[in-house]
Amino acid sequence: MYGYLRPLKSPDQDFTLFRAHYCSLCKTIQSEYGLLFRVGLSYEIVFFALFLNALQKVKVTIRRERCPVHPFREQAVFEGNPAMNRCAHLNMALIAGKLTDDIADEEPYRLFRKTALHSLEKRSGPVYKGYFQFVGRAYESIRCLERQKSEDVDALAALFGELLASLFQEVCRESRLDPPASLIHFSQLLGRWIYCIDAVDDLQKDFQRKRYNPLIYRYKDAFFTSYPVEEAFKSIISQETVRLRLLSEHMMSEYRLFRRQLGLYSVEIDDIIFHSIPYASARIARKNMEKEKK
Amino acid sequence: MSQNPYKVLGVEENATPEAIKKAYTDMVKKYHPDRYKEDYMKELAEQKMKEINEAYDAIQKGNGYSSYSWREDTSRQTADQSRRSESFGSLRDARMHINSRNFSKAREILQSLTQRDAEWFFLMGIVEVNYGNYDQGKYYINQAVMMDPGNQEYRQAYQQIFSGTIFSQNANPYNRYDTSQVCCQACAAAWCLDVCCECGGGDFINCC
Repeated sequence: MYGYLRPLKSPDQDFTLFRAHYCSLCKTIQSEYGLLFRVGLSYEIVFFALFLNALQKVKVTIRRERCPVHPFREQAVFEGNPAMNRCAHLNMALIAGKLTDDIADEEPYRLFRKTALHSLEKRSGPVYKGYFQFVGRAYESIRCLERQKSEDVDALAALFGELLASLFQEVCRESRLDPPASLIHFSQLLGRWIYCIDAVDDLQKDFQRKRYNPLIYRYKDAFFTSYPVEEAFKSIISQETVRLRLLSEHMMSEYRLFRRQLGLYSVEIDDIIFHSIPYASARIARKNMEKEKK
Repeated sequence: MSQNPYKVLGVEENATPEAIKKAYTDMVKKYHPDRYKEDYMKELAEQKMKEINEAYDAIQKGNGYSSYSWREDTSRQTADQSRRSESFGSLRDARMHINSRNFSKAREILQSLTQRDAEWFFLMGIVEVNYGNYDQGKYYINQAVMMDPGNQEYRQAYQQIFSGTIFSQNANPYNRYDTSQVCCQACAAAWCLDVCCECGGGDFINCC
């Protein structure tokens, strides 16, 4: 998806478990979809897998292995499990949704996108076809609002949040888990946060390429009242920082309600929720502000 | 998105028809799409013009704005005391559900109420904020503050939710375990919780 949910690179932090989840998922994707699709793995799904393993209290045995991407340095991996398999298919379903979206938006390299989409759908198999259909439907409803040039950021973000929450619920159901209500609400908020931070991140790019971005329509007044246009971006980003802050605070308070159920990997997940999410919100806002200064 | 048509035109609610018309013509001049060369700005201006025309039509018709009746809201705040006490129990129920984090039930109760006073707007705002609908939540809580400016709870909630910043833009990722920051965040979060919905077992900070 977007790559905002990853641990912060700090010298005093051990990322082995997160890295092991990343590499194991990458290997699962290779075995199910082929080498090329490994590049499609997103940090959000790695976080999803870590979460699922924590909920199922799966104890993983980490070993070191080399791979074509890291031929010299051995990477931490562990034996795949059904939850990892589901996450790999989920990742590909989201990629397929994005590809369909790009094709509908007439993005460049259409033929390449179409071939990749066709190949993904062929390889998904009958068991995971449901993921693809579900994601396809959710992207269609988002696209429908986007075509209307909707300025309702909350409604658009809610659709993406709903998609993430439903997928999480589905994967939990298949893994015979009964997720608490706070966890479902948390995943809805997480989806909203991902949508909003992506909109903030792409704001300037979308404006320049004349592509739809809900923030442009939501804050259209800023483009008439601020001059030059960079000032409008600055004002939009500073207002959206409040939304991102509220979303991250809400996520944190929801997370605290079910944190105890995670047990095993709560330290790694804590790190992402309490540090990476607020930091990513600030980093994206700052990055875009600096971009405007240049 | 529902907006106050007077706010869209930038006039007071008690403005004369002449003042409203003048504001309307000024805005039409300012936002006319032909004034803008860039396609993107043209498109934004068209959207803005649509908004201005809708607001002007709504004021002319005298029934507020299409998706949400503004006049209805403001007249409701002056509803008689007997109706107020009638629905008090239900508003109290809604607050109780908010306290126990049952936001869907609270929303259901609030939507069923016909009387929409400051308390209704405040509780609806809190529910929307908890769902993650911040634009709508901001509108409702702001409405509650405007209807009852003396109410400290509404004011504090508005300021705490929409003005404060808990993480700074220059946050240093390597100072993540700074205890003072964690304490500040915890206190701010606890206070926010206490002010907004008193979740987590009731009013645990007595002074606010």
